Amino acid sequence: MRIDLFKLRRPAAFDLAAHVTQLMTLPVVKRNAFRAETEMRLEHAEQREGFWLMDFVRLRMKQGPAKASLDSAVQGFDLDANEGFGEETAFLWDPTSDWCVSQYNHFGVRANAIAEYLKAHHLMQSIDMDLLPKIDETVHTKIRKKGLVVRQVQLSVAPMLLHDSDYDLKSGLGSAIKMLKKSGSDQIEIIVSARGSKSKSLNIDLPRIDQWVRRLAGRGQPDDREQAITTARATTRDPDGARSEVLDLLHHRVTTETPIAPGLDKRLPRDDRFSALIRAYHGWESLMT
Amino acid sequence: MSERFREIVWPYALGCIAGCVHAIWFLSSFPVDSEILAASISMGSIFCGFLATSKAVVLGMQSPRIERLRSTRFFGLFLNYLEAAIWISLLYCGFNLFGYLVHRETFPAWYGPIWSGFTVLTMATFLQITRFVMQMVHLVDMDSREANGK
Repeated sequence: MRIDLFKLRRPAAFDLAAHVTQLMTLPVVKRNAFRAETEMRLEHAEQREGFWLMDFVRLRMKQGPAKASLDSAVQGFDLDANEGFGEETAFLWDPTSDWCVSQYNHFGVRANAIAEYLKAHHLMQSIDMDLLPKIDETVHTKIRKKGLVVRQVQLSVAPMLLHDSDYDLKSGLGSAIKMLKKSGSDQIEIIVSARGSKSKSLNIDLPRIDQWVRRLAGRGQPDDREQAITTARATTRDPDGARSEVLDLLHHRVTTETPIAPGLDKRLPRDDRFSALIRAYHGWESLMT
Repeated sequence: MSERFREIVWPYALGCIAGCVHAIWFLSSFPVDSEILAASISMGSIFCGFLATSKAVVLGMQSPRIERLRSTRFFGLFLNYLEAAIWISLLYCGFNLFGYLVHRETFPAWYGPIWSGFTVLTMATFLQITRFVMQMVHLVDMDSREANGK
């Protein structure tokens, strides 16, 4: 199970704990919220060791997997019209520091959906709240490591995108239109790769590329799709050739993998997921700055 | 002086210069009869009609580049320019109608320079908007050609 670290940004006056408590008093149907073509909801919330532990579920109502067996034909599940598949996502919130640890479920509820859900269900006023992924600063130390063998560099660039920042720079409408004329296809992908034997490498100064990418991409939100550079990855190998690693130069999130044994119903037990989140939280305490 | 400031100011500056030139060099001379007003009113109303139509044309344009423009604040800027140009054309018509009221055998001395300035301002803003609209049409054209793979 993959776990990511986030920082919750919320107005100080917004009492999230009371809001979650109030949400849990609602019947299940009332907790459903429609998002990204399907329903999601806060399934469970509890307090443990000073943390708020929540379990979100995304309901897959449209389409789902089949029941497969090693020694008989594949068959469907027997489901009612109002039943589907639930994708569970565990979420931890530290009310004192606002650091959050979230399970990553590719088919489940994502962090921004959680933030949206928690503020959208608060009907009293609109709240400016979101979850910002914590960026791993150590990736930049890794890049600066001496003798790192670079095998491949991959960049996706959106050329000459017109931006509101151009407006702030007091560009005129005429030059904005000119800029649009020059901007070609939506994305250009540049891949520089060393082919052939494993010993071959690119003679590339990775720290300088990293600097350049970060300067172009700005220090905006890591999830901002409006960036000029959308992907920047370098495939590297240790000097001894032992370990190869893909470094994301743009947004290398703080993340960890924890193995969890599925229960008899093939689901990852909620308690195990919660304790994995708490363990990850304690492991990351030094990063929470 | 920012680019946007220049873009906003040049029609007005040109209008002021035209008014001054009229006052100084042509000694505020102006045609004696009021026929020129009728011609000016029809020009102003044609401009006004064209500008109002181009607003609808631009809002109806659909292409990735136009969508991009629309998603930024530049589109609001364009609408501001357009609105200003429409108002200027309307006021220009009004000013010419007002000319009939002040016309006695001949026009008062102040009328000529203001008329010149206003005419140049109206034409300049009209020219500016027309150029922007044509450039946007080119953007749509570029997108459709790219989509057809030519």
